[in-house]
Amino acid sequence: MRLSLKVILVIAAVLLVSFASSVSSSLIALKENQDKSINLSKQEFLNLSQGLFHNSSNLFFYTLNTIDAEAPTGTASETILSYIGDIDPNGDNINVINLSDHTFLPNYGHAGGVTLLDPTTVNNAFSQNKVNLTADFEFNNFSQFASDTTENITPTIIHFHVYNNAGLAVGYGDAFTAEKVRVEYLQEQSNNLFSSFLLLFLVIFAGALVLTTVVIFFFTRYVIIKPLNKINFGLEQIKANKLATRITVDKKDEIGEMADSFNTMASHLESYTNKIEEARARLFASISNLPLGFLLLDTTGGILLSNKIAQTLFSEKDQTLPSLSALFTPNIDISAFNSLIREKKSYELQEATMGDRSFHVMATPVTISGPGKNDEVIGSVILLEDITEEKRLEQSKDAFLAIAAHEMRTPLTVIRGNTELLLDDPSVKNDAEFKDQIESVLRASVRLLGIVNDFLDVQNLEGNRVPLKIEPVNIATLVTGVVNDLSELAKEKQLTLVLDIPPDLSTLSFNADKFRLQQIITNLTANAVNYTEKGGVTISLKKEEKTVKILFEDTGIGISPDEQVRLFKKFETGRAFMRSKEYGSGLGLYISRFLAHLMGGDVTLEKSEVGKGSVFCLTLPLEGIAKQ
Amino acid sequence: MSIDTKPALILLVDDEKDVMAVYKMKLERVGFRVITAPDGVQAIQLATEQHPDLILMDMKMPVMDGTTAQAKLKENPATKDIKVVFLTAFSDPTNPDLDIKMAKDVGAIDFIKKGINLDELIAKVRSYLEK
Repeated sequence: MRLSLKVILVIAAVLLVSFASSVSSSLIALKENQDKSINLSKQEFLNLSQGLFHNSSNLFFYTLNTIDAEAPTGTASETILSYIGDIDPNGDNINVINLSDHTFLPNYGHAGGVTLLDPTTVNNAFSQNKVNLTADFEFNNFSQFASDTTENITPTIIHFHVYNNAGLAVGYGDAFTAEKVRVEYLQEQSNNLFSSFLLLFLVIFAGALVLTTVVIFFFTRYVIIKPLNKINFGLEQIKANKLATRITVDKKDEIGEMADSFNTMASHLESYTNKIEEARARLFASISNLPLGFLLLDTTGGILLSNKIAQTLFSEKDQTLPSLSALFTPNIDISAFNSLIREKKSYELQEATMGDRSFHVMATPVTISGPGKNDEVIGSVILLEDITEEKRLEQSKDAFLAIAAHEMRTPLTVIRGNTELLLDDPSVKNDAEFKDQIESVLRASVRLLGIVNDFLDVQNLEGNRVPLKIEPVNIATLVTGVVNDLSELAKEKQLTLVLDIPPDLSTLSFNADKFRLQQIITNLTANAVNYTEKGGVTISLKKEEKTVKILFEDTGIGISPDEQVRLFKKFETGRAFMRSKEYGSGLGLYISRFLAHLMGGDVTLEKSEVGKGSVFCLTLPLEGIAKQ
Repeated sequence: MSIDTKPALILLVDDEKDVMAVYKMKLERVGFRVITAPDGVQAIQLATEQHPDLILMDMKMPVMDGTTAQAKLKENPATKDIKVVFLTAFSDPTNPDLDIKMAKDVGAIDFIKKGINLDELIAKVRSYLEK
C-alpha cells in the first residue's frame, strides 16, 4: 500500500474513531441523563413542591393524599407523592388506577381555591434536579388562579383516587401541570445537557486529537522516520566507505522501494569500486615492476605518481624525490620543459646527471580525449633509465681502448722511425733485397700505425671529442695537395691519377676544418687507388646550388650489392679485405662519413659495378658549417 | 745544414730511449747536433749548461714531467728564451686537447704529435729554428 494512502487512512481512522467516540459517549451521557430523569425515587419526588400551574401539558405534579380509613372524607393524613403513570396528550386517559371525572379542589383549607406554590419554590425543586415526568395533561380552565400566577396560564387540575388491591380507596390526589417549568427546566437541562454534551464532546474530541497526534507521531516515526533513518544510516556507512552495507526495510511502499534502490546502488558502487581498485592495483603493479623509473607529472611539473625505482634512482639514501629541476639542469629548465609538453612534444635527454648517477631520460606528453576534452594535455610521463653503470663501462672501455691505442703508438713510432732511418742509410739503399724488406716493414708499420690512429679517431669521434677547427679552405688547393701525395703510389701501380677542376671552381673557398677535410679526401683517394688494379682514378669537382661535390671515380674491382650494405660500417672492408691484405683498417669510410656529417655534408657511393669500378661522392655545404 | 754557422743544438727530452734514439739519429743525419735527457731534471741541467737552440720535450716523464720542467726553464733568465716544443703522445688519450692547452699555457711554441714521420719532423724543426 502506498505511503500517502497509509498516512491518509491512519489520520482518517483516528479522526473517525475520536469523533465517533466523542459522539457516542456524549449520546450515552445524554441518554443516561434522560434515564436518570425517569428513575426518580419516591423520596425524591416527595421533596418536590406541589401545585404548579402551566399552560400546556407535558408535565404534571400531583399530590397524593392518603385517606385515613377512619375518616374517608377527612383530611389527608399523609401526603405521598408518587408517580402513577403517563397521561396521554389529550388528557382523556390517564394511566392511573382510578380517575374521577369530577374535580374538586385539594384540601388546603380553601374552598374554591387552590393554594399555589410559588414558581420559585417549584423552580428550586427542579433546579435541584429532582423530577422529570412526562405526561400530557389538559387541565381545566381555572381562570381564578390567574391572579396568583405571574403569567396567564390556565392550569388544569385532575382529581384522582387511588385504590388498593382490595379496591379500597387509599388515597386521592390532584394533578397539576407544571409544563412551563418543565419546559424551562428541560431547556435548562437541555442547555445544561447541551453544554455538558458540548463540553464532553470537546474534551473527548481534544482527547481524540491528542490521540491522533500521538498516533500520527508514532506512525510517522515507525513507518516513515525509522525506515528513513535506516536509509540515512546506510548512506552514512557508504560515505564512510563501507560499501558492503545493505539495509532491510520490509515494507512494500515508497520507502521500501527507496531501500531497494539504495541496496542496488550500494551493490553497484561496491562492484564498480572493486573493479576500479583491481584495475588500479594492476596498473600500480605494472608500473612498479617496470625495469625503469616511472614518473607521472601534471602540467606544472608536479609529481603525481612515481614508482619505487624512480624513488631509489633519485636517492638511495633517503628515498625522497627531489625536484625535477635537479634532473633537468642544466639541459633544460622546468618551464621550458612544461612548454614543450603543452605543445604535445616529447623530450629526451641522452644523459642527465644527478649526483654521481647518469640517466637516460625520456619524457612524453600525456593526452586524454573524453567528454569535453579533445586530446588535451594533462601532464607527462617520464621514464628513467639508469645508465650509470653503462656509462662507467663505456668510459672505462673508452679509456682502456684509448690508452691501449695510445700505448701502441710509441713502439710503432720507434719501428717506423727506425725503418725510415734504415732506408736513409746508403748501405740499405744499395742492397735492393734488403731495401725491399725494410720497405715492407715500413709499410706494415705505417699501416699498423694508420689502424691505431683510425681506431683512436673513431673513439674520439664517437665520444664527441673531436672539435672542428673552422677556417676558409680552398678546396682546389687541398685536393691538389692530396693528389700529389698519392701520385707516387699511383705511379707504382701504373695507374693514372687525374684531377678535374673546372676553372671557375679553382678559387672556390668555404668554411671547413682543413685537416679533417684533407683526411676525408685522402681516405677516398687512397681507397680508389688501392682498390684499382688497372686503369686509373679521376677526381672531379662539381658545384651545385647549395653544395660542392667531389667525385672519386675509379676503374677498380667494384663493390657488390651485398658489400655495399656494409660499406660505411665499422670494420667491414668487404671482399677487398681478402684480396688486398695490405690495405685498410676497415674504419676509413666510417670515419670519413662521420667527419663529413660533422661538417654538414656526407660521403656516399654514387654507383659501383663489380669488375668495372666505383664512384664515391663527398658532398659539402657551400655555406660551410657554423663554428662550434 | 747551414754552412756559415755552427749547426743548431737540439735538446731531446724523452723517457723512451728507443724513440729518442730514432729522433736523434735522424736529426744528426740531417746535420743537427743533439743532446739528450731522460727526464725534466736532467733536461734543465743540460739546458742551463749548454744553451740549446731548441728543446724537443716529451710531456709525460718520471721524476719531473715536461710542463713542470718548462715552467722552471721559464723562471730561469738563462733559459727562459729557449724555444720549447712539446712532443705529445696525448698523455690523457681521452682528452686530446689537454696536452695542447697545457703546452700553450706554459709557453711552448708548438707541439708535435709523436706519431709523426721523420721528414715531417725535420721540416718542423727547421721552421722553428728559422723563426
